[in-house]
Amino acid sequence: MAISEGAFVWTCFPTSEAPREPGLRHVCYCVAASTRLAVMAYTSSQPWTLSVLPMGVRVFGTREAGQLNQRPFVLYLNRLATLPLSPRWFPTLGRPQGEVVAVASANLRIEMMAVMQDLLRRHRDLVENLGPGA
Amino acid sequence: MVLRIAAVPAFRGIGVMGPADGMAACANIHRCRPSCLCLQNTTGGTKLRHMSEPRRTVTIHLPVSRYRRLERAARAERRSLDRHLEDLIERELAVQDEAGGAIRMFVPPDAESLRDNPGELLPTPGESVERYAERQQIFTTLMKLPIAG
Repeated sequence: MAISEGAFVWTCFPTSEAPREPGLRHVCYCVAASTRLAVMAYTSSQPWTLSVLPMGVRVFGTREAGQLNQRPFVLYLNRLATLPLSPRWFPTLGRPQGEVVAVASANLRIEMMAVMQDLLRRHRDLVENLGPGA
Repeated sequence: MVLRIAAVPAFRGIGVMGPADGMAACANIHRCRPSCLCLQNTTGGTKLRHMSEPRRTVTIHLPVSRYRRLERAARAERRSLDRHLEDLIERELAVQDEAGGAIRMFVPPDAESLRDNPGELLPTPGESVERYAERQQIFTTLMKLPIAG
């Protein structure tokens, strides 16, 4: 199964501390994928403890996560990475067990896409630009 | 009673000042009182990223009741009062950042050049032409987001 929108994929998502290097292996959500790269959203199994749930943060409880073959997790659509389709970033790419852990339902994909559109609209001038040239 | 928490530009440390050490450690012209707190401010973002940044000091005034409450909370978390305050500020700034709609986009060096020519967006099975076009727009916008980190 190829990496495409809605796929949950093993990803070496970069960290804030080392944003240019592969981080530890995480299951991440594919926001979009092309023939050359994929835009992945970060997930964490750390429970959400704050009272406010910001836009772009989606909590998956036991039932929902179970349907996606996962433990409860939090998806951060506001924390993205553009990654080349290579084993350096997708450690199970091309392996027999496949790189895709689960695929979101059509409804969930629609929901995530709407949130992404909203986020991008809101984002505009709020981007935290700490790029390599900064 | 209102607490005075002094801004101390010359003071690089961080701490809660008591009657004994307040005036000695704090170069503030206000002269810290027994219940004066000196703390350095930080800006939004992750804690680790700011650890190496230069620091500035801010002054805040707290009613005694709030001061005592913070003291109790800090003790319960086995943190010093100043560290506890730092944590609270960091937490609040993180919430504000996220609630504000900021997106952080990481792009490693091997992906930077790909953003100009990312290839064809892969369609989702059974996707309509309209939805694909919408996703293409999102994809194009994502490729133009400033790089974080």
